[in-house]
Amino acid sequence: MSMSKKSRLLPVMAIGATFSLLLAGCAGGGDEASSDEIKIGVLAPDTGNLSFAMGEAKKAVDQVSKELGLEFGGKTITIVYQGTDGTTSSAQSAVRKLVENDEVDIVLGPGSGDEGLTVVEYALTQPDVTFVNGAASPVDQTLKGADNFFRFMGDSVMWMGGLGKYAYETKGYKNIYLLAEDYSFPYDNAGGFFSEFCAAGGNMTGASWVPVGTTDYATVLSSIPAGTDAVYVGLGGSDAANFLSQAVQAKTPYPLIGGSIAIDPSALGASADIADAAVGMFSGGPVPGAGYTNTLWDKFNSEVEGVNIFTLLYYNAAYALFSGIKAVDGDLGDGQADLRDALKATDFTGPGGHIVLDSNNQAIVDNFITEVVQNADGSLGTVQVAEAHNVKQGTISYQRFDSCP
Amino acid sequence: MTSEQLFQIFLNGITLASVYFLVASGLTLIFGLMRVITMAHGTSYLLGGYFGFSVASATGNWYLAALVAAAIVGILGLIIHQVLIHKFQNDDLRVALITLGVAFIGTDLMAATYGGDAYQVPAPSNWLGTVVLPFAGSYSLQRLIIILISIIIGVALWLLISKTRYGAIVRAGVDDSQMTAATGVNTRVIFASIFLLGSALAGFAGVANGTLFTLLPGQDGTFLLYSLVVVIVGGMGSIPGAALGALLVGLVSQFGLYFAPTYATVFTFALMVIVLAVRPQGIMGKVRL
Amino acid sequence: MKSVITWFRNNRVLVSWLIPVIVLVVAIAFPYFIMKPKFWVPNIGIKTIWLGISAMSLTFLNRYLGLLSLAQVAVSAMSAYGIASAMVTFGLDWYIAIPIGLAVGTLLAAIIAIISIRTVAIYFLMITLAISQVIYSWVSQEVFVNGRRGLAPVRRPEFLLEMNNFYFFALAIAVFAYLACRYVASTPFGLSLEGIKDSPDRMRALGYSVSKYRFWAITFAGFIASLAGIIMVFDRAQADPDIVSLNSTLDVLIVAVLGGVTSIGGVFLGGLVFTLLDNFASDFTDRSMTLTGVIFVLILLFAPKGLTGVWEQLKGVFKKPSSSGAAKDLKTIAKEAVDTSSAKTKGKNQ
Repeated sequence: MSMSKKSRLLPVMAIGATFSLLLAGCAGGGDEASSDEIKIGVLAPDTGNLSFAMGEAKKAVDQVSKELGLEFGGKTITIVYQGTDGTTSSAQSAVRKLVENDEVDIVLGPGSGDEGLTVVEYALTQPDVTFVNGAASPVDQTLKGADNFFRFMGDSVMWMGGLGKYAYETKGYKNIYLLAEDYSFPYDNAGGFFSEFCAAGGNMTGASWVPVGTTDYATVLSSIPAGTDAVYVGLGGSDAANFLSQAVQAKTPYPLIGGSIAIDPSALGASADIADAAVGMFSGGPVPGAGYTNTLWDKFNSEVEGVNIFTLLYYNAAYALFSGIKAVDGDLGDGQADLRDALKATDFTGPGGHIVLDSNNQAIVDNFITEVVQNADGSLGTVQVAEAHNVKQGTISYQRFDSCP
Repeated sequence: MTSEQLFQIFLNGITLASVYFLVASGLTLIFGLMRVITMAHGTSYLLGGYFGFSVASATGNWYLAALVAAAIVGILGLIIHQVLIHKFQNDDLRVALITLGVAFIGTDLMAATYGGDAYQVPAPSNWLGTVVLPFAGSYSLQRLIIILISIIIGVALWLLISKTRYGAIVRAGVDDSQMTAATGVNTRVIFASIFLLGSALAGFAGVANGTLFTLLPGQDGTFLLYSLVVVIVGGMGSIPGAALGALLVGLVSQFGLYFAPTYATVFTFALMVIVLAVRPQGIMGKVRL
Repeated sequence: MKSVITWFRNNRVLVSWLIPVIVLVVAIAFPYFIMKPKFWVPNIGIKTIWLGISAMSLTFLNRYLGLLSLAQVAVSAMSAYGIASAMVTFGLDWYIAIPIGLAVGTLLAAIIAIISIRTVAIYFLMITLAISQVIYSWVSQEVFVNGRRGLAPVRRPEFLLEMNNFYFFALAIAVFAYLACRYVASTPFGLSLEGIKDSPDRMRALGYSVSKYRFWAITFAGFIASLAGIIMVFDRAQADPDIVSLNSTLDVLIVAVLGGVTSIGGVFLGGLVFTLLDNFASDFTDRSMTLTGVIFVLILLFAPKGLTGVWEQLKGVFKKPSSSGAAKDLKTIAKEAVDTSSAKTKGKNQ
């Protein structure tokens, strides 16, 4: 390379500047926690496919601080937000940064399923810190024996609570085909649905577990066996939108049943032609649809804009956590024992229904069955068709299955 | 499997192949002439799709959208070539790495602008609906149109390279760029034009794919990988090779999805590993590594 | 002054060890002079080490074979999976699990070598990328390694529970990996590798079996990458498909480029800058990936030998044209010390 002296100086200076910037950033990070503050670290995805989750988590925490305040018994709550990209490695370095660099007392998160177990495994090594799950739903998070880990929402099996019976009894479907992404969330989610559906007397006609990010579903659609009454679609948000647009093009004759994340706003809000396939699709999950009678839900929606699954779940978690801190009047107790006792005693009704904890610090919740409808303005929304109460956690974590589990 | 299913899956494979071909033909043109791989090719693809979506939903004109997307992405490709790549053209690994850096930046900025939602480029209304084909039954009209478009583009590219004076210069440049330059041809202009054309093809592929399926963040990486697989299998630098590679990859992934959906991705990459292990220059590649 | 210069001139071998030794001393002191060791030791220190070792196996191949491999992360990951399966699935002890992990990783590298032995340059880069994608798709689906959920928890052995012990364990592996690379490079085998890199045809004519040399070099680099897998799996306490994803592959590539793709020791500087960016860039920008991308491109454009090469460029800036012969010698000596001198600038570019 023949560079003149001057042009050589430039990169050196640029790199030097970057370095000093970095060092400045490091030196600035992490002020010492003072004794009259309680530091909460909020963990949520802010890059990658779930990047919108961080904004929802912030809205939820802001709403709870508005309702319950940020001062309890002379202690002030400070909040540190830490983003991830939804993968296990980023969750691991982010949660370590919160606990060990920012020295938070409590972690609120994580937000994505993949990150869930990583954070629980970490919680097991940090007995002095309390962890409150954000929106992660893997079943075994609360089965690992971490008493400092709390989850105020249902797991991915519980999100299907009531749906299998509804499909068999109310809709009268006898034979259902499974199409789902090939990873742990759909295993549990579909497992929850089919175990209930099969127990009610239904039959599974086959399964296509496709890789995440599959573009063309036409082949899968053409391989659905004759005699199938409906198709269970265990695809997430944007993949679901892709599938629905192709179902429209192919004029798929089957009614669709959605996994819990198949008809979330990122699918329904997609700028794609999906209405013909999506309308009539029903699903189960923690977010109620229109027509749900609960004044708290109405109030929540009027005060917080654009509520989705992340807003609601982070809100419930933050609300339970702040209430716990309020109950102990800001004094977390030795090794945070008092706070944990208060959290274990949680019993509240919020916008998403009634929540109490079982002996594993796992919530017992209400679950909602909703159906997609087209609103007057052409946009897609959901209406409530049924609800299940006191849905409890089972102990099965499902694997890939090709017939009734 | 019924014979109708067989034909359906076959057609789906060809649909996928035609999109892969559009992306990969740009990559193979660039590689054939300059011996460099641009790792920002997937970024060009996705950016083209997003531009196509914005223009088509604003104007309602798909053709205009496709043209604008291809033009803008082509010009961006040209700028990247002139500013970042031109000086290092003889160092293939460095070009691969520099363009990879461009891809990091592009991915992040696209995610910031378009977010995680799915977008679909609205197709012209007379493309909707299905046609009944012999053996296969009814099949989506817009898929057939995209297949047709990519066949036309493929033939045009092949004619351009093998029958025109421009093509002759390009081919001479492929064989020996220094000798070609010595005969008075301005190779820099030729290189730049190929980069423009290659990037524009990727941008157009984004619009085509975004019409049939949807555009998602992360597809830039996927399509870069698949187009690499296509050109490696087919033989780098050869347009017919890219067509053959695309066909193989499209069919393998669709039949894989039918017979063993779980391993559909594994099959596709395994195809490439096998081809490279047996015939490193690709099926239609020249023996020169 | 003059005697110092003479000493430097007469002890070049010693001097070439000077910087590595200084770095090692700083690395040993590291846990004791930082303010928040609980955070810095694992998140910056240990992560830098395993990213660095994985990247070292990449720079070794690039420097001595002229091949840029994107499968090194897959090799590290398979070593990690080997250890995780042995411990989680079969309940074996760590001292049995570690050799199993090393064997699995090194064996994979040997298989990769066999598949890719006939390809060079950009083809090699792409075939290794494809292989790592095959492995990613496979582990994501394979029930034996628990698919996307992965294998957890991989607990550290008793004597490594203390974070500082684990750090020094990792550091010891890093020193071993570095010495192993330098040793191999200095053997006749290593010298032949450089010959093959520069003119494979001539070496072939001289009767060398080029394929055989390539095979052993790739396998050796695989062993180095497998060492990284040991630290990685105990640091992360789990083995899941994320460790072999495209992102992880690119992370190590970024580390290698930052440190200098032909520098064996520079990878640790690259790793340090990368982990700092990873942990702190988000504190002052929302677009941390763009920042990383921009730094990456700038380095490739202006400092192709990476951050360790910047030292040389600096000297190029400040060196007066009329400098004495002695100063010139110092420059040569320092060049060797930063471990980049014998690497010829990759491109014949201008």
